[in-house]
Amino acid sequence: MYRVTTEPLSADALASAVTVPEAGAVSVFLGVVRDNTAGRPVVALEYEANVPMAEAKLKEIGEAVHQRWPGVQQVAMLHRIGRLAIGEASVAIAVSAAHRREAILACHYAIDRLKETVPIWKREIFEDGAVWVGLQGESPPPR
Amino acid sequence: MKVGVCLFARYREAVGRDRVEVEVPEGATVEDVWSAVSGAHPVLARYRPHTLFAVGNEYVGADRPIRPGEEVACFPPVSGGRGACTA
Repeated sequence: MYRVTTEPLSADALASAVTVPEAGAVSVFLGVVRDNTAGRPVVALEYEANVPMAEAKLKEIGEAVHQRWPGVQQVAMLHRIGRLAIGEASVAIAVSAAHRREAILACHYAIDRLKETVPIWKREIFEDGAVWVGLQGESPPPR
Repeated sequence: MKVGVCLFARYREAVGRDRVEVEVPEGATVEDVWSAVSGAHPVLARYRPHTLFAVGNEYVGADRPIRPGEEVACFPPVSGGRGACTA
């Protein structure tokens, strides 16, 4: 399951989606909206995506996970877009594997890759304005 | 030929539209398309050094030739994922 959605994300639902009889471990990562950026209060975050491309890139990450960790059973990656309030999840990743180490490593890999290659952008909403995150030039072009 | 160009995030906001069309010669590259877009919308010009390009669902280099009917997506470095900070 690799999707970009406007619906709230559920860690429980995603964990259930990857749970299979062969799995002895399910690792779940949730990215949630923090209430400040470097101490400056954040009111909300807005996410925007190139949706078809983002979903294709999520799927590619999942395929790379399966290649690197053959013991991984299932991978699910969801990213929410639109306006999110403090504490809401923007991204949810779940990985099931026979053993915990693979599940945890694969989950870590997946979120790191997501942040590098998936065309999604966020805007921080402050009380007195909004800014797109990502200084020009801070990240190299993905491969 | 006419080429559709999709804009995202601050690029979309700067231009005020999420899609524009430009006229470029047959055999034009992504760079030629960008030149046409930033020529028509000079507000974008300063973003060029860090702009990412995609055709279909794939990142492409600026030297990639565009075939008739293809659309080019132009956007800034990505910033999805967790939290309220890029770290």
